[in-house]
Amino acid sequence: MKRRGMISLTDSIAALSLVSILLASTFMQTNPTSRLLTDEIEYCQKVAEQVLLISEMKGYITELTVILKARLSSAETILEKIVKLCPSELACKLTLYDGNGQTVCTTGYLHDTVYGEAKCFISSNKTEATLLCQVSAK
Amino acid sequence: MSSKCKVKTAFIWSSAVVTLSAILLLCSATQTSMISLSTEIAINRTTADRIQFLTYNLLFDLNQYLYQKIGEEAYLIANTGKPPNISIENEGLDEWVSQVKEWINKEGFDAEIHVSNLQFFTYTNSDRDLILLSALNLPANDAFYNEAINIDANLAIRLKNTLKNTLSESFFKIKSLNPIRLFGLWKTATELYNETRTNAPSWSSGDSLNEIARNTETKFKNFIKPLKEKLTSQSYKTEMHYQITARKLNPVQCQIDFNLNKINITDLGKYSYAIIDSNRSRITYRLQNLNFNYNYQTKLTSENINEVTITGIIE
Repeated sequence: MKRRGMISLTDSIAALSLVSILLASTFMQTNPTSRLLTDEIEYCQKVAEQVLLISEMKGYITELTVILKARLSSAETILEKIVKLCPSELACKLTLYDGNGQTVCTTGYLHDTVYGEAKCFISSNKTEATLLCQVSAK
Repeated sequence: MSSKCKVKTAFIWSSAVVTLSAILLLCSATQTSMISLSTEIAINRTTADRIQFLTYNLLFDLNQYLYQKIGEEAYLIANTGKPPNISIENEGLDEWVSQVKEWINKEGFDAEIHVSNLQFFTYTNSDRDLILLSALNLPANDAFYNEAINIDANLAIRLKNTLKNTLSESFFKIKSLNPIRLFGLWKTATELYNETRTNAPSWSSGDSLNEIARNTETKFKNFIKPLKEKLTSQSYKTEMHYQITARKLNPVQCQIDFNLNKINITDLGKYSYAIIDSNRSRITYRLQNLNFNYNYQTKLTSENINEVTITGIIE
């Protein structure tokens, strides 16, 4: 009788192990965290693009161009206006680069290491400038 | 348990394990393929969004570039007093196109950009693109837009991302404006000169050279005064430098030389300025050395003077 019981127990242990391995491999493959990260980055990028497009439409980028052309030192004021376009539940950071990739000024802070970004081309004074908008969750 | 029964139990267990494994594998495979599909869709959507954003970025930037270039061109034309035939040379536009292409290449896209059908003409109260005006910080309508500069252009953009095999082709009709009233300045300046020239012969009176010159000046000032007030109400500032010379030709005839040394008309409209050498500059149309003369017949008093010259400025 004992020998008969031992065989049955081995079978069930083997089956349970196999099922556990299969379950583990299934959940390892799906990795929902990376999918959520992709979604978050995509959403933040979309918001960053919208922020820059709205600032174009509102004339903030033209103001920035005039400031760059006239070499005025009040670019921060315009960048602050643009930062305010970002939804309040998200954090936004703007960085203005000159044609050589040097930072002209920065406004705002990111609250997370996961962020989406968009870059806007600004032609000015025979050189170009780039406005980088980064958006993260608060 | 009999050996037959053991085999049966083992078979049932094995079948259960195999079925469960198959179900789990199927679920896993389905989920994996769904995830990879949705990730691919997300990547494509992100790339499409990026392309769309870049396209509009270029549209707004060209609008802004043309606005600035027209401002610079208008400043040059007005300063030299040439007729307002605005043109942006191809080199200028090529410079913008190559700048943009270089920048876009750095962003991982290949770009083909064509700007065509550039036209700059007097503002007509019609189909301006209000979003492009808003992007230039200009209101949809303004009393001083009349005789400003309409900017029309076509922009074709082809963006390609070779890595993600994405292609986008867009075409825009730019209908924007620069509120500098270049055409108005030119028209006003030339009208001032032409009307002065037409009316001046009726302003001379008196029988001495001094009197004739003085009377001509007084009538000229009286003539200009209402015109100037009208121009001021239209936010134009005028400055005229003149020289009137009465020259005796014979005892019954003298020649009046009218020299409008300078006619400067400045557009003081709220939005009318150009960025020149890093400064906001008003546009002043400068016409110089406009001369005309006419003869005036009267019996001149017998005096030893043969010529009287009066100079002045009307501001």
